[in-house]
Amino acid sequence: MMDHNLQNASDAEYKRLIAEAYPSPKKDIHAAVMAQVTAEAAQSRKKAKILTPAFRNRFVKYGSIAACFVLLVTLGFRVLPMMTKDAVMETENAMFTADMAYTDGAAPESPMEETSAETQAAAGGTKNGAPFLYKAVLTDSTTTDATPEEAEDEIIIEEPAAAAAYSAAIEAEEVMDDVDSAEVPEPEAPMVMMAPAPTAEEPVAEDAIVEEAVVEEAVAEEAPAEDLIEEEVVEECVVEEAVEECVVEEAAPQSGTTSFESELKLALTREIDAETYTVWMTGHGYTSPENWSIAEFVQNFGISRERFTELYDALTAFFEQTSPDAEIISYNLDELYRQ
Amino acid sequence: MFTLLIDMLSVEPQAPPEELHAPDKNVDALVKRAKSGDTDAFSEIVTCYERFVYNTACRVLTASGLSVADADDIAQDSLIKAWRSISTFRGECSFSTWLFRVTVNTARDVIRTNARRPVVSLTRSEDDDEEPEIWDVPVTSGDEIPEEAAERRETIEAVRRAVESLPDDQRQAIVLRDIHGLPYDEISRILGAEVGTIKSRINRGRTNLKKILKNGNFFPSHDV
Repeated sequence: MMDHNLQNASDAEYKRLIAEAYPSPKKDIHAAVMAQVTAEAAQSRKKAKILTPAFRNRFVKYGSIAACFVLLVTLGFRVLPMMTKDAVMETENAMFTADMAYTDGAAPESPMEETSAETQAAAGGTKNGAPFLYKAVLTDSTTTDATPEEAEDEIIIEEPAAAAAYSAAIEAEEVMDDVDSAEVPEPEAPMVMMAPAPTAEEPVAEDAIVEEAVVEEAVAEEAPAEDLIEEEVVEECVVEEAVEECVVEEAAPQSGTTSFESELKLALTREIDAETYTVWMTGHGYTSPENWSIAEFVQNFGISRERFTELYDALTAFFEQTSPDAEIISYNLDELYRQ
Repeated sequence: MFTLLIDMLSVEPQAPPEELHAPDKNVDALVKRAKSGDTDAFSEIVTCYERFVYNTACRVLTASGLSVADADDIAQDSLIKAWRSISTFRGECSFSTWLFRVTVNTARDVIRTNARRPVVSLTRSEDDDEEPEIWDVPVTSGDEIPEEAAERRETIEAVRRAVESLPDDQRQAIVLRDIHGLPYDEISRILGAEVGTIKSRINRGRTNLKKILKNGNFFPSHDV
């Protein structure tokens, strides 16, 4: 009976008792909250209107353009100068390499080829967009009063003129004796390892050491050559006993009576020992072969008639072949050996 | 936090639901729409959870020895905060647990503010100290005569005693469903039981409550 009554108890009465037992809001919380939420949502939508898809598209479009512009400006004013410095370094390295090749003996044979080699070296710098800049640096060294910023500007402005002047100087090298007159000053710009362009005749300026070495090499190759020839002649004359060869070698440039007689005296001196000859010369107070006569020498050292005749005939034949105009002296053997 | 919620339910339920069987809503779908700025979805959420938020505020205020007079403002502020910060809800816990945390924090902020600015009520009387909690229960209408109000207080106390006498599982289910008005799936998440189990507990709890109230003659004779 009880369970049946409870089951039949209305839900409305149950709700009424629960509602009375527990507190409920005094005001309409839902209405108050939703009023505030709606207001805030409207403000949010108003703010969101600013960032509409069209606005976002325009922002992305023009923002990208602006970013590209800023990037280009940054590259132009910041990165490009650094790249040109690198180009200068590369150009200078190329020039230095060409100069080293020149000093190593691999220099072009003609000034025109040398100029083309330097042009190629300069072209190495053009691949980075900085053609002939090293030449501008060279010219820039003359503008010592300019500030660094001004110097950079002047490098760019005076670049073509400097390059033309430098090229003209290079092309005119073959007719210039003085390299300094090419008006190629020494590089003063920092961070630039400038190797002056070599000429066909001699390097310039800072390569003075290399130049000296080259000149010394050239002198060592040319001047000692003649000395060596003379030394070889002397050695042959001393070592070999054949008087004819000595006469042939030494009498070539001589002519006249004195030459023939002096050559004959020289041939006679080879017949005796050098020490003996020296003692004899000293003992008689002679200082040169001109102080003594052939008769005196022949009689003193016992040169036989036959030997003297051989020497005389050989020398006469040599003079007749090589110096037809030379005066050949005739000697009376009886008078020579009379005393 | 969840322990506090269960403790709250076990100690003193606060608010009666306007609807005994609130229509179940797909809370997850509503929250998702609200996160995208749909005010209509949030309006439905407020309808479902306003009593829960209000009762939570009352529970915190009562536990702090304060009047529930500020519970309306706390509930309102809590729901507005929930709207503003609903985008931060990641779904790692149930929405009611997240909303309970928001409400408790809001109520504690109000309590701290009032503690810094103590206000002395000009209408405060000695009777307020003698009857601190039971008289905080508001009457349903203000135009009732005092005698009828006294009888109503007896009924309120009897109903509360009947609810507190229920077994724990039934009491928690009754409070969450009939007093807070939460959907079954939310109750299922809070209590960690299947929806069918929750419905069974609620049915048995209501039967026991009616039996207790019938024994106390709180039900009209014609319903028996």
